[in-house]
Amino acid sequence: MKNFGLTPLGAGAGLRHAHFDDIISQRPPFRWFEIINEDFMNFGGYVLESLREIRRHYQIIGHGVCLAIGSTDPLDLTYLKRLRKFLDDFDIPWTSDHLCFTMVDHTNLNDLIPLPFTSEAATNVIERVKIVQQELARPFLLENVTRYITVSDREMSETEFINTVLEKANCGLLLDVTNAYLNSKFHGFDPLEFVRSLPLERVGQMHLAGWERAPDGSFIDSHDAPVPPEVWDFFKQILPYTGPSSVIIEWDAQVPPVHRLLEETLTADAAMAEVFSAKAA
Amino acid sequence: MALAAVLSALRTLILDLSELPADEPGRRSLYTHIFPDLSAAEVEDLAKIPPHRLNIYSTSIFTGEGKLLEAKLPMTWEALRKYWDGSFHEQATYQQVARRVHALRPWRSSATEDLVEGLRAFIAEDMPLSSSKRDQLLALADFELDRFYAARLSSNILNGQLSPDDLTSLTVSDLLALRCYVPSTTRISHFEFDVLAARAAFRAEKDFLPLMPVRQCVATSRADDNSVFSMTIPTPTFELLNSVTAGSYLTVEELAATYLSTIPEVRDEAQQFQKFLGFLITLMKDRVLCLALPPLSVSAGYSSQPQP
Repeated sequence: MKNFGLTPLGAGAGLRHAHFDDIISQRPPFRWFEIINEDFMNFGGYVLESLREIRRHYQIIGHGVCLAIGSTDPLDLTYLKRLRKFLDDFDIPWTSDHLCFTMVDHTNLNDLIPLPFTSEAATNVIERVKIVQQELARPFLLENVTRYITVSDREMSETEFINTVLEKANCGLLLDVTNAYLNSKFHGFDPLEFVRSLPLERVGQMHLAGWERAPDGSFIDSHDAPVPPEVWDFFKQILPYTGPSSVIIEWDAQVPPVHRLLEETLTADAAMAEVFSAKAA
Repeated sequence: MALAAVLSALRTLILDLSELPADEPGRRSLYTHIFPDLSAAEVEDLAKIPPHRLNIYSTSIFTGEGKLLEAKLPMTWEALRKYWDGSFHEQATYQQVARRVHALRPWRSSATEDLVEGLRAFIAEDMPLSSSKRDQLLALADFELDRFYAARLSSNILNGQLSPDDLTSLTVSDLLALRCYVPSTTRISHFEFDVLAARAAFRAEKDFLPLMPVRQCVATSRADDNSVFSMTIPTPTFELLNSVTAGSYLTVEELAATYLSTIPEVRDEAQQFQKFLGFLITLMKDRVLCLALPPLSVSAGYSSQPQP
């Protein structure tokens, strides 16, 4: 099974509010959009009506930031039921969230905090993913997060942790290429080796994004710039292992004009065409 | 249990402690003391994390919350940045203000409603302010919360509502018999300050503080093109519209009688009618209310309260 059994959609983009009007009026040739579920599911008004109009013309895929799959707080079943209804209403075939925690002690940290790579943390995530899959009744993927810190790798490595969770929960992987690349810089490992250690048949979708260079020379996963050349190169290196997939450009801050975003998706499509045509030849 | 203690300790390190020992033994000693539920191995794990790496998360979280609050309640946020610890400051940073708000009013869920309501509670109960400044900040917060909810609430308006153009073909008696509904997206509030003048000044990038003390009744609504409007309405009209509960309605005749009581200086009936018609059309265009013929053209069970 390739691509976790999901239809490869080619290159798309993260749908952001700043582009609603241009997308609705100009209908630029994006293949598909990924939405942040929480940016839409609690709304009426302009936001939801724009999404309805955009959905008439484009495939939409879901992505969440609030599930807190790794938290020890109880899973928010009300949230899951609302999410299920939202995904059903917009005929969204699959969705994803992050392999991390965002809530603990009933406090929202509003960021993606990495988990300790322990069997206890893995078991906690596995049990929660099973509930999520049951509630959402559609394929569910977990994304590898940018990780500025290692909370604990005494018991297992990050790839062992991801493998354990995905296999035992039987869910897919949203492979964030930029996150994997940045983590290799933060923690000093070979990014290609990292990716090759993952269960690549479970990769159902990928993310690409740009970053901010901090004054001290470090990197911040800020999604506010074009995809850097080294990430494009890395993307091409891993494509032969993943096969065709669904890839989006994430550009969340200092959002460019819609035509510039489209250029990035065309670059991603061209990269995939280059790799797969060479492989076919 | 161990996992919960580790995640909780991380939360404390990221959100609550701004100064951590630079050296690993110092952190180990501190964490052993403040995190008694952690095992020695877990303390060792956390002590290995360099504080500057934890600080990346702290900065991101507090800056992100500040930017979100600024996007949703821009005037309130701007005023708060000036008065955030009770005395005047020229533009405290997002992080200073958000850290302070978070410490006293932690964001308890993933819903933005909880974040913005937490900010209001922070102003109402936690800020060491004079009552005058507190009242002004609360007026701004309440006004902007009205706009926040008007923009995002699900609309209960269904097809079949009358448009202003439809009114031209009606006789006066037919018009007066129409039913007025207040949509779920309309918020009607009164303030002791001129919040609309403050908003105008803010949008013009002029100083909007202090607010001018004046009683102001404001209807905030979402029009068909999804624009959010805020307009002053006469006090009797405010009281009448405020009395329209979920699922109930009033007649145009009731609305007209109330409105005309606010313009006693206009004695000519034709002029009164023209004035009222202009007022009614403005209310309709901004969707402060909608007009319908019986039977009900509005979905049952609608509410002016935020949807969960």
